[in-house]
Amino acid sequence: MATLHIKCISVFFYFTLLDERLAMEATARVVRKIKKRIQSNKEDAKDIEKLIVFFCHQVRLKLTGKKKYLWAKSGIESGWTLHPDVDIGSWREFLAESDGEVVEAVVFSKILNFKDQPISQGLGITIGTLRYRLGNGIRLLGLVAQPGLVRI
Amino acid sequence: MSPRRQLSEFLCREMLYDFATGELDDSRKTAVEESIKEFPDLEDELEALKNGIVYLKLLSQTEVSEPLINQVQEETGIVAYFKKLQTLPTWARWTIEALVVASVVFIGIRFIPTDFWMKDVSQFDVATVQLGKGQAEIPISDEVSEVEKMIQKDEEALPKEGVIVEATPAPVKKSEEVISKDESVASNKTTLEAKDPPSAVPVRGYVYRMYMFLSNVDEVTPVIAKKIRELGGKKAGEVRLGWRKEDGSYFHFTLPEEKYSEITSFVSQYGDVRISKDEHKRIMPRGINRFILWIEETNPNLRKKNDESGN
Repeated sequence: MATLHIKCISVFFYFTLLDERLAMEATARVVRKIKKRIQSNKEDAKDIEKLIVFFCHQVRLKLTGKKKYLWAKSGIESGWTLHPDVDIGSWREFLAESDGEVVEAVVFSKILNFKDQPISQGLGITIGTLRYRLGNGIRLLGLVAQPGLVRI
Repeated sequence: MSPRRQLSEFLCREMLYDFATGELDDSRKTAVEESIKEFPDLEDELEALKNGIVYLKLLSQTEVSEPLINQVQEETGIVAYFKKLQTLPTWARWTIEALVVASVVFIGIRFIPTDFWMKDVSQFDVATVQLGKGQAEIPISDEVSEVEKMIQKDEEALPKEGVIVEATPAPVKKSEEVISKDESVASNKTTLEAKDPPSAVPVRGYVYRMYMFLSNVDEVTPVIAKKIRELGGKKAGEVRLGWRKEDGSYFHFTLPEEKYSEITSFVSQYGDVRISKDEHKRIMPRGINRFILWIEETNPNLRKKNDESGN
């Protein structure tokens, strides 16, 4: 698998789980699954984004609600570097208030910049549903990121 | 020219995202712009959408370090499976370890032979004494096993209750017939007294086994039998003292404890004697020893036919 794909998977889990140890474990798990799928069916390598979305969604469901580790057991420094102007608190609040499916759609579309087609195929939803979730998610995120605005 | 569409607040709100990302056609775009002017709340929502898009653009600039990617790639091998175990809760790890240990123990017990674990302690040699002229090891012939069969048969004829509470040493001179009567009285006593709880019962029974190899068994047999009787011995089984078999003589008798040295020194004057004290389920009363003496005929010409009756 290409390094870019591994980066995408790791960023997805970082923002959906907000736990570095879990994110690394989940990333490794997804990479194993994708490699196994590609080995069994080489045709699937053409739709790598769809595979990423599909397996990331599966693994996220399994790991959601898992007890988060309070400290990093791997002993390495944080492998993710955020933009200096980013306030991660807003994202935490968004994560707490939103549905997991909405967060997934936002991360795939706006953070990882995947196209709508592979996202909808990977999640098993229509493009209309995807855009509906995106609209609601970004609106909520915008409200959280700019406190003072009245929520509707 | 088509009439301008008037959008409701709900419809306008649903189209706000497409409006913010510039994916609406011109007519819809105009309609939304006009609806926003009509519904001020929609302007706040549009503002929130734009803020969210800007925030997400910053998040999309998140960088991932190379060491992390390398670590993920390494962990996708077999090592990852073992490392996964470390992330399990403590109770799960202990359960897995316990199951592994239990499986190993089960396989070990199942496939390793029983002899490896347990030794047969039913017959052990407590003391082995060799008396007589020579100190050389006397080879025991295979015929000894027949003696074991004889003894077993002899034992089976006796009452099953081997616990005798009272020690009743017999008078020194008594005929064989009288001895048999006493035996039957003793056996009745045994049946009656077995019901009462014994006051002092030895935990384990034993028997003294003596082996001799002589060439003049016929001459020695009656002498030894007479001596046994003189010392107060009685037959302990159904066969008579000195039961002559094809290849030797068999003595199964009881003797008071204090006569042990006398009988052993007496028989040793005829040849080498091998004595062993073996555990036996039959328990004798205190002060009484049980002996099984087998004298094997070494002269093949003098070996006789088997005396089936034993009398």
